[in-house]
Amino acid sequence: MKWLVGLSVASVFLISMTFVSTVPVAQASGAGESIYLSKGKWTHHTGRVLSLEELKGEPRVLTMIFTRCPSACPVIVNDLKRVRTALGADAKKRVRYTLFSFDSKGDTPEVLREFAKKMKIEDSQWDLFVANEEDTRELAALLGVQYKQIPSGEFVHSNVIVAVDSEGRVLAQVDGLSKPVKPLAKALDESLRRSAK
Amino acid sequence: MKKLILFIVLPFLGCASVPKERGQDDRVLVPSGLYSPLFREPGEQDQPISSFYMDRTPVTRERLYVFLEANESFKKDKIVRRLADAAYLDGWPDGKPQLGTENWPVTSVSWFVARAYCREQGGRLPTIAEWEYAANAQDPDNLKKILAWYAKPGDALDPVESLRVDRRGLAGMHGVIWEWVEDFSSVLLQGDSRSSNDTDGELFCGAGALNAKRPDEYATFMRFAFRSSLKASSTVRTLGFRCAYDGARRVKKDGER
Repeated sequence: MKWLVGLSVASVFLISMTFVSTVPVAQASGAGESIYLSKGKWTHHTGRVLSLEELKGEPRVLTMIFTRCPSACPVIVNDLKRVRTALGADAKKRVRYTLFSFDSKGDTPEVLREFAKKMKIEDSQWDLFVANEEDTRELAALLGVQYKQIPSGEFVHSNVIVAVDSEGRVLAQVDGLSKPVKPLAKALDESLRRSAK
Repeated sequence: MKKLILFIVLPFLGCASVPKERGQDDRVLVPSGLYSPLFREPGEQDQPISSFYMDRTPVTRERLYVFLEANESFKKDKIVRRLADAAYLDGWPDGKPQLGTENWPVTSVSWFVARAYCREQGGRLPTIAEWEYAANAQDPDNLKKILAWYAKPGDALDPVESLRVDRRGLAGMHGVIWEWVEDFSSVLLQGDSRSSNDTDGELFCGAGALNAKRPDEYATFMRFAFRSSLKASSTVRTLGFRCAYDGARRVKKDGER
């Protein structure tokens, strides 16, 4: 019996190596391409329905949350505030902060507005959105966010913060909570400097 | 006499059908039932599955080619890297399936492409729950073969007509290719939003493998491990897909606007 277990474990390693070798990670990133190519329809916290295309115009910091989130999401909102603090004067005025909800059912525009109030992110630089399950999954796939709804109704999710330029092209990305946000701020500052030239 | 006319007319009707109009024979009704997940979140119950239709075989290269002809932005030389990595449609010279492989399951396609294809057919990708539920119709003999294949997935594919049919009537669910599912990215590896790591231990460490006492459980474990290794833009030579379709009663999903 022991040999069977040993064989099983060995083949896990074997197969995971096969997976790794068939997926060219470096080429899979899609650097320089817009996130806004998703055709999904998103409802803004004000109730307006729009497509991601309409987010073009200003550089943005994007992330995904859900408002009933007890622990990680307040931290991630705080991370976005830290990005703002780290930005240069020009970027501070222009960059917008965009939160997409995982919770198609629970996060109505009204709930999103309450969340914004609680988090003190009510000024016009913050946008909160919710969409149906299909469109949410597509955006998460484009951002590389993994998530799953668990029996309690909460969402287990990976934490990703993405900085995009005014066209939606990815400038920088930070994975995880309470990580240094300097790379995001620097990329946004530089992008605005480039476009001013 | 009437019968005779039918005999004459029917073959012509057959010829007139274009690839998009697929007969009901191409889809299998998967009856409703309960899906028992092998790996569970604490408190997770068996999940009720509503009846749905599923493609009888994996989608073929020919069918994807027809789709690509009508959807330029997904063509091999047009697609953006965020939607499919550089190995997309590997082995398609000049953007066409190699001669003689038209009826093979299509592989080296990304999740985005598979999903767009199914949507155009009026379907969608099956969820993990639906796929696992539908696939759980193997004869015991076949289980050993599944494992043998998982240990050494190869490139040797066959036309979809020659694939092994299971008790539900679905062909090639195991032993040929892996298949995309809608929520593949819900298999979380690490760094999730909870402070504890309880998902990790159950799913992916040695403990996960050791808990799988039966060969079919081990095969399921392999599928979950494989899914967790994918990105939505990933293309793999042994990864294809088939579509699912809601039953006759199209129930509006929660949150649908």
